[in-house]
Amino acid sequence: MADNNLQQAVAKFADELAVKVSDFANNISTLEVYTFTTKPDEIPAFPDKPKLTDLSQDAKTSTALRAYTRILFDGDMVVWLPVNDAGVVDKSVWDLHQTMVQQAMENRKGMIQTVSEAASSALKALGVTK
Amino acid sequence: MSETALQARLDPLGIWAAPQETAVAFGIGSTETRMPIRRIPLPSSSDEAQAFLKAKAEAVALTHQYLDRAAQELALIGLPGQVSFSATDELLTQKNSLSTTIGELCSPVSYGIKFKSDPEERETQQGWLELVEQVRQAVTRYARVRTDLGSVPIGLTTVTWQGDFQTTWTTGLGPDEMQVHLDAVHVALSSRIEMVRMVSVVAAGVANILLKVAVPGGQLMLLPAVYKFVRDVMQQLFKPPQQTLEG
Repeated sequence: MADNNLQQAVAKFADELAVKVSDFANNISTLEVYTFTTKPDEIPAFPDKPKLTDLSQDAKTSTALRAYTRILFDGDMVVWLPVNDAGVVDKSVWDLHQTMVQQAMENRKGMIQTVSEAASSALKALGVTK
Repeated sequence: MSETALQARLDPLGIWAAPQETAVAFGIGSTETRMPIRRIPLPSSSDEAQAFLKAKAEAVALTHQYLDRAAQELALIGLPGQVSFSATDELLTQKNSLSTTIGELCSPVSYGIKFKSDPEERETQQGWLELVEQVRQAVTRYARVRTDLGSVPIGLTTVTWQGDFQTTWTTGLGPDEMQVHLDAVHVALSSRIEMVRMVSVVAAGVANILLKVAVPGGQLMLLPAVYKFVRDVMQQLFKPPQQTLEG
């Protein structure tokens, strides 16, 4: 029983990681980073996936999308800059957003490499591949 | 699921465990256990919060370094009776233990009999299964990190599996306060990667040993044994160096 549990758990793990890697390969075409601001008492506990319509404020809350970056696989980028009331780029928000874009790129690279290695190692350990 | 169990599930490396001597704690706030949030209540001082997160970032960096060391050691293990370890090796106990286990697995006596009667072996196997499940969940769910300084919410970041980021900042923050959330996100995501790497190191170690040694049905018993080795190596390397007594 314990043997079966072990084998099944690791096999399931390896299979799911392999699916994840495959999913990732299919969805690698874009990387999106959103930066919102809101009042402290309106920070969402469980935000929905944002719907990118415009950079205006949500009518129901104080939440506003201030900056957005989409990096395409071919190197093209779509960037929405945060501006203040005078129409000047809000440097503090923009700097924050750029830092998040950098973190997103590093995290994506680290996760795909690590998960790929984990899936490959798990399959080898099970003797599925050599 | 209890909060303690949930915390263990999210943090099997123990990186987020708060030091006992401070009031700082890593808590998980969620009313929905299927989508837990890494909620990080920090002291109201951004300086103290940054110091706390700096220590956690250093722990993650050490975890990375020690997992590399465990992987290197595993690459050298696998030939029972043909290896000799230096008596001054800080990992001598762990290496001997794994070599002994490999030897037992190679012997004609059923290791399963020992397994069934040994609570420690059962605990190790359970720990391995839990780690695999933790990693499986970590890569199938969004990572969400919320940072509070004292009672003041700073930011909430959601990271999808594909790596898309969505961050909501509260208004009126200073640069130091914003940096705290940036640091918290960095530590949370890098610790998640190290957790996945731990499984990778174990599995690669098993695969490597199986190339050198014929173990009947070996991977099933080797997986928890190598997991125990990696876990014990990490514990040993994280121990502060012992001072020698003189005179």
